[in-house]
Amino acid sequence: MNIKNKKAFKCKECGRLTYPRRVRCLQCKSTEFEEVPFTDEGEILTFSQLLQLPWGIDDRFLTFGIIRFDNGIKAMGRITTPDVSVGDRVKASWENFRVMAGEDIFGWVFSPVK
Amino acid sequence: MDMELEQILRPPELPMNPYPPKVITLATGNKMVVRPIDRSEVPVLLKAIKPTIKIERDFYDVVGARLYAELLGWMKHRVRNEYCLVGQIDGVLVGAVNGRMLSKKIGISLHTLAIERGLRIGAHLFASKMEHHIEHLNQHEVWITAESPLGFRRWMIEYSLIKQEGVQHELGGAESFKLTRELYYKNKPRLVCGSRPCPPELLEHAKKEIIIADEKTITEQICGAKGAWKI
Amino acid sequence: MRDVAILGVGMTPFGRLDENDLLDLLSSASLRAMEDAGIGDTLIDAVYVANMGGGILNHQTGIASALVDNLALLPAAADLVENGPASGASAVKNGVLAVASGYYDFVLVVGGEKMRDVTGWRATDFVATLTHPYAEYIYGVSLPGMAGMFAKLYMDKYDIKPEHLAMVAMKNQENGILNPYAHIQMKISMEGMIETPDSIVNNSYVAKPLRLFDCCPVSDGAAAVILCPADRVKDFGKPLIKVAGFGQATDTHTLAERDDPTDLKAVTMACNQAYKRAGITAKDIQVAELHDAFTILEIAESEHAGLFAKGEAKKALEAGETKIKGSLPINPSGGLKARGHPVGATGVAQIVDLTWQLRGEAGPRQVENHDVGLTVNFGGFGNNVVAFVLRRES
Ligand SMILES: CC(C)(COP(=O)(O)OP(=O)(O)OC[C@H]1O[C@@H](n2cnc3c(N)ncnc32)[C@H](O)[C@@H]1OP(=O)(O)O)[C@@H](O)C(=O)NCCC(=O)NCCS
Ligand SMILES: [Zn+2]
Repeated sequence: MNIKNKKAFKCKECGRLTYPRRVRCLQCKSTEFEEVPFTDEGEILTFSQLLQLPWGIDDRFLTFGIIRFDNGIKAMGRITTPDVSVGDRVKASWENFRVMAGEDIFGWVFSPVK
Repeated sequence: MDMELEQILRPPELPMNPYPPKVITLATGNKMVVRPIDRSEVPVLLKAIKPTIKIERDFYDVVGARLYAELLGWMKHRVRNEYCLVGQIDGVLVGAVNGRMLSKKIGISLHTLAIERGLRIGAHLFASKMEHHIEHLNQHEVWITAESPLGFRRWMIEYSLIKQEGVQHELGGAESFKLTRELYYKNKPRLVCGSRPCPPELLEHAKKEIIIADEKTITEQICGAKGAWKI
Repeated sequence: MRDVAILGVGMTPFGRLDENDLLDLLSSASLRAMEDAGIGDTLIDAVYVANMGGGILNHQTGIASALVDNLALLPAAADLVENGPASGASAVKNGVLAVASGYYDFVLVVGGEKMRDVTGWRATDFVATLTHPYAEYIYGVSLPGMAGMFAKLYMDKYDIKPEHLAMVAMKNQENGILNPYAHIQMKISMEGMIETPDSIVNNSYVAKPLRLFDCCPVSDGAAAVILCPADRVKDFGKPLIKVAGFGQATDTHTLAERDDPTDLKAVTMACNQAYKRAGITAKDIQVAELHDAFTILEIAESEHAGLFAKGEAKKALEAGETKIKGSLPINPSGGLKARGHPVGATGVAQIVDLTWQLRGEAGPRQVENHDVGLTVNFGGFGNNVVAFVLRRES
């Protein structure tokens, strides 16, 4: 699960970025992609603080958001605090943030850049 | 009654500050008065609780039966330092909570019973109970346990209660949690509602009579009367 | 292609139906629709069942086969359609195509869900399984969470206030009181939901900026329709309610990949297709059943369906235009907000309710103009949307 999740791609034909991996480019239908690294920081596009969590999570609340990395890749992840606004800059880190059915789950955790 | 013998049986009580009544505006716009009752009002309450003893949904039976017994024990002076708060809309009973002082510093949360569903009455009354222990009885902590999944989710997670290893809550074997003063004040702005003083006319109306619905209505309010083959 | 009509409709009450299992719900709705159609069961050629969670929630698969057996409709063809919260309208669409093609004459479509076998947070997790498994689900996001992220942007963009969302909830719960099948039958007030400080508990946040009363409840229930060729309706003495058109469109799985996350493209495309097939424009719609799983969606869908220009739905709300007595009633049934949202049942229930409206059988919630109506069934978070236009003809 972790490996599939960590990589972002760029279409070799048209340059469209995609995350997570897909088989054909949404724009030009090409199947040729190259991996692109994520940048260290990005910007919050939207977010929500969730206070009624699904089964398996015992936190009081969690904050999620969609971030645009500086190279244009967009991804969802957890945000470390609900005290953020759209447009805020965040630092991205790939972390083990959860255990599901005994398995360590890695994903994006974003924290505000002071 | 042999009052001499009775005096031996009655437990000595700690002084308890009264709970100042308050009023909460619900989602419907209705005003719910939250106030303490005294022993003389227990019989009416017992009548309203009785039908819940047969309701299996959401463990109303367990909560109902135990609350019934606790209030009876309190009325007959067999439980020490107990209190009971009720919620009433236009006089009508919509819920009740009870608890007691284990010691001067430690409070025990007993039960929370909501008769109307869907209006967050249980949440409001539970919060009022915590308010009573911490702010009015001036206790350091309240011990809480959950007897239904709903209770577990609502109280333990909502208040981020602290799990107490090796501590036995007097309701029995389930895990025991505690609310400290610090946790209470941290959560208060989000969870504790209501305004004081309760307008006198509302309070008078509530005190005049605790109106309770008949058994069928109470059961329907809690269980719903719906079924795939009905209507 | 043949014209297809809705011959019979029926549904169970929605809510927490502890005494009934999934098969019970589906069976009850089916029998009600068959009875309403006045159709002998030997005529039913095929059955389409809409259900999303039988496998996960009720530990039961192969539900369509179980249903035809229980209903003694053997050897009718039977299929299960799973398309998330749009399963209902998807199943109706499949039924319509089957009749339109001429392959089958009488088709039963029934959608149902039994969600209250499990606790609310397990139900939340179940619905969340429709999000992207690696890029969304693992983070613990739920459908209310997706809707919260959408609401944040949509409200900022069109200056929609929490009061506008509350107006949707109030309207729909008021309509729900008039609907005996509705899950929630409670009048709510602006004071209790927003104005009083006590609202922090009454109407607690679920996924900011969305609060409890911005969400639909989690429900059990089922709804069914009987479809047949339009020219056969007169044999049964029923009013002619034609499927004038339908449309369906899809969008990216993840919210993050949409160029403009406030643009519910699939809603616009599905509705436009449906209008085109029906030979109408959005202006001809007189009543609509929209997928208000969250109050913000009623506003956004009404704009994406072209019923109002972008940013204008809030004015219609303020003016009461979308109430039952308004100029363009939306969700006179109470919508998902009040009728409830047993996911597989919803798309069918919307069509059942609209049929009652078009027939003039909606009782106290009957709208005044009822010749042409729209339904929008919104699957995933807008990644699979099915719209129907129904028309009353003589
Ligand atoms: C909002 C939500 C979290 C509230 O859950 P909850 O607080 O656990 O609610 P409870 O189960 O304790 O409900 C108690 C009562 O409150 C009322 N109630 C619950 N949710 C309600 C809502 N959203 N609106 C109005 N009343 C509601 C009902 O009367 C219910 O009684 P019931 O048990 O007879 O149905 C839950 O309804 C929810 O998750 N809704 C969204 C569902 C969803 O995402 N569906 C898929 C969308 S595509
Ligand atoms: Zn490309």
